[in-house]
Amino acid sequence: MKHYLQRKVVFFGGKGGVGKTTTSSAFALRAADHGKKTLLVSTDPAHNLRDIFERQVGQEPTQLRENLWALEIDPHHESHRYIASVKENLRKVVSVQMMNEIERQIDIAHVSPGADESALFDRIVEIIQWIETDFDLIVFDTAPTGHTLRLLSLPELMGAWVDSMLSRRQKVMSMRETWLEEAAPAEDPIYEILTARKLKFARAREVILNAKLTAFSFVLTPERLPIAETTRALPVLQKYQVPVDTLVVNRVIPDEADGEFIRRRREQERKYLTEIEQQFSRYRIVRIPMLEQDVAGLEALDTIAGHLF
Amino acid sequence: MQGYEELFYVRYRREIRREIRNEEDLFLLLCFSEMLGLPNPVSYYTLELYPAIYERFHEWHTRMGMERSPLDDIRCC
Repeated sequence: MKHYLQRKVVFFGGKGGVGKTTTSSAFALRAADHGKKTLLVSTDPAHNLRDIFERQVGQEPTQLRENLWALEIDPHHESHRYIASVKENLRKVVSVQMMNEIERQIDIAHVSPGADESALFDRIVEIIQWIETDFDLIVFDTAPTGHTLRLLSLPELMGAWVDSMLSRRQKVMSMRETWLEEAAPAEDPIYEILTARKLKFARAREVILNAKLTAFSFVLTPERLPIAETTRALPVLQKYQVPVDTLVVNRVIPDEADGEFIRRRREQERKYLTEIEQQFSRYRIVRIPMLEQDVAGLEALDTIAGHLF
Repeated sequence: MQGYEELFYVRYRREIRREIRNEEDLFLLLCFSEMLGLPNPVSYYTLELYPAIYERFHEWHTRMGMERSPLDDIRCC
């Protein structure tokens, strides 16, 4: 996957439990060794970067070693932050008596389904912009597939919605100007807020869908369910024109493993590996052998990275 | 003659103002659609519009002859 070093943003997706965190950590570590200023981002609620790197990782970039930073997104914390800023802005325009009532309503909206997901997405969009200023490469260890796909479809949905809202604002403003001969107001806050939103999403979308800047990799294991999930996910990503080019097949039984039990497992595994090769022939396939021990610490990550590059 | 033109103009402007107001009302409706039971995929992101639309909402329901806000979720007064 050395060619991934040319990219600015790399996503690792896949079913839960197939080793996304390990793979993305190993990749980030190796990229940092190659001199890329790298940020590893975990969006998985079951944050386990701290277990792998044996270091505390926070919600802002934490430096782990030379050229390598990591952060974990906590959607709940992000939505709190957003709500707090909305309240702060309201306080400037609304009377104190009104404020109490409004706060209560905002808190209701805040717990509405989808709020955490929106917050997570918002933060990802924000982080992607950092490639322009702070990092050479950003590696995302994303949550299980369904979730990731929804994240990718949101900008499209959001863009269409904001566009229609903006065109309504424009209509009102131009009616005022043309027919009432009123000077256009110096600023329409609604128009400005919507435009800022729109630009932010549009920029992230441009990066995500640009195969020169972004790569999306799928991690799976040679087992029935991960193969099935990958089979389902790939066409959807294709539909959104997300550039997927490499599949990482993790935990392949190594050649040197012996014993009758392993021999039989390997026979079954061979079927799955063939299936993977036939079904996903248009993608590059990288294999990572099963290690003797659990992956923890830099040394084990380095071993994994050796198979990736 | 000029008085006549003036009269025409006043009525005409009133029409335009009404249309603008309708458009603004519709905008509010779209912002608060979730609370009316219409799904809004981006309701989370519309929260940040609240500071800009709160007073308009208050103006709207008083204009509609409702002394208090008709929406349970938005009690501006």
